[in-house]
Amino acid sequence: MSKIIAAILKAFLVIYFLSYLLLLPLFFIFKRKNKEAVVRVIFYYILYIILQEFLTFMVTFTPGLRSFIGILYSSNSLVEFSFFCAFYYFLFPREHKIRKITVGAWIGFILFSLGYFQIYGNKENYKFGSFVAGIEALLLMLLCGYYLYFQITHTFNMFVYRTFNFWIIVTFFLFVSSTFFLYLMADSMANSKDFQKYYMYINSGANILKNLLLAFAITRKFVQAPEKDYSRPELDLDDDLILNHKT
Amino acid sequence: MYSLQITQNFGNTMLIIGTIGMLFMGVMLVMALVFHQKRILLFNKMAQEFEKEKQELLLNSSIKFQEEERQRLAADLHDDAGPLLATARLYLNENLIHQDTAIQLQSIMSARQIIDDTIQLIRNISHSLLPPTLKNFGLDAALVDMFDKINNTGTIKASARFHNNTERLEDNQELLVFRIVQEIVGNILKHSNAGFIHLTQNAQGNWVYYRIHHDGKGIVQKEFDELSKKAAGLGLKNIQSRINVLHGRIFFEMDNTQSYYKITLEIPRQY
Repeated sequence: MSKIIAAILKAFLVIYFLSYLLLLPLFFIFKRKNKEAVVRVIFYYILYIILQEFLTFMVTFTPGLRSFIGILYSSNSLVEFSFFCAFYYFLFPREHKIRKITVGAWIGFILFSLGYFQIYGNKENYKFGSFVAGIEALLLMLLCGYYLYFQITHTFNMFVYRTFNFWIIVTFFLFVSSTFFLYLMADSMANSKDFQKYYMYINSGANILKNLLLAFAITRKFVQAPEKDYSRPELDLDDDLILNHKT
Repeated sequence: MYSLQITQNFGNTMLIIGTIGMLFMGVMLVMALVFHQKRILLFNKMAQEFEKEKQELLLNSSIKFQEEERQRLAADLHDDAGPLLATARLYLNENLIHQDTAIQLQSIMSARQIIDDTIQLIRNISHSLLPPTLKNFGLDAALVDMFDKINNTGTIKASARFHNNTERLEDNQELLVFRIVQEIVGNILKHSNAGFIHLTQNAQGNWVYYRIHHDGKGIVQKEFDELSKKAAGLGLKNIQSRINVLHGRIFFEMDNTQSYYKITLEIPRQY
């Protein structure tokens, strides 16, 4: 029985690392020639998650670097949210209000995170930055929710589920949904051995899911939302009729 | 120690339930969107089929309208021009029979009068096919002329105002707009019992706008859509088919004050 569990864990680990290795080759095959800002942001995000995984691995298994693990985890929320905001910003048409809201949310989140880290970063129970990660997850879910709502109300593209944009949003949405409770409880439950075990499974599972969805998204076609909807301009078409004819 | 263990167990249970619950909710939400999109796709496909049927109906009515126009033209030529020319021929024949100069002069004068009438008749038929003002001076002049003529009858107040007509539409576009306005005004005169009609033109970018106001009994968009589908609404079908040719849009609305009906045409210069 223990051999089976060990084999499953081994397979899980192999899938975990393979899911990271899959991303860059797929990107070069499907999106190499695409110069869209949205696609470029995702390319840099892929580079970041690979680098972040490598650094986490190094920091975890190098005794002298373990003190940096808190900084690494805390900075992850900031960088991840920044990538998402950049992606989200370029996703919408130029005149759309959500662009300004995204910039506002990003600035607000950065200031909040830095402030929080400044105040609570040196406290004993601060290990992961759960509160910041929770706020990040909520903001991400709200923004993803708005995108999905926008797709329902502005159906300019009928095959939304065949697009790169949609699957990237789904990737972030499902990733933050599946890790929401995990990250939220990480600070308070860090000393529990069971929690550490669950953390590893859930975090690895969520990362595999994220990488596979990212890989799938890369194979999809990028579709830019139309710049402006046609609307009737405010022209004088009434000629003060009440004055002309009704008096 | 025991209570710490319980707290930790409760926390772990919460973690598993919460994670599964959130993931489930997320997946459900995404699936709901995908199914919703598929339903819209199905609906749009049905709408496209409906639109195709509507286009066929419009095409048929357009062909029917053309046939009726041809028949009317043939009847005008046959019933009016034909007998007139035959009579003129009879008068001229009389010249060969009668050698008396006075009678010959009389018959030539009569033939000339008949030929003049025939010229006028053919001119009228020609004008009904393509108004000379439209051909020579453009849409604004033709519409102003049309509204002036209506106004001069004294039964209804009619006026037209062009705000921005520096850049004219193509000739074929102007003819189609003229026909649409003619049809709308004809309907207003026939059915609405209006006291005034007013036409306004304006333009912005690629779009030219024409709005007709009247204070009679009009129709709104829903009624227009319903009437256009009926076999009897040939004129409205023609309006719709001409709008389709122009890639434009037409709106039948009521004024905010609920005093006027307004019909707005939106015509793109290029499409």
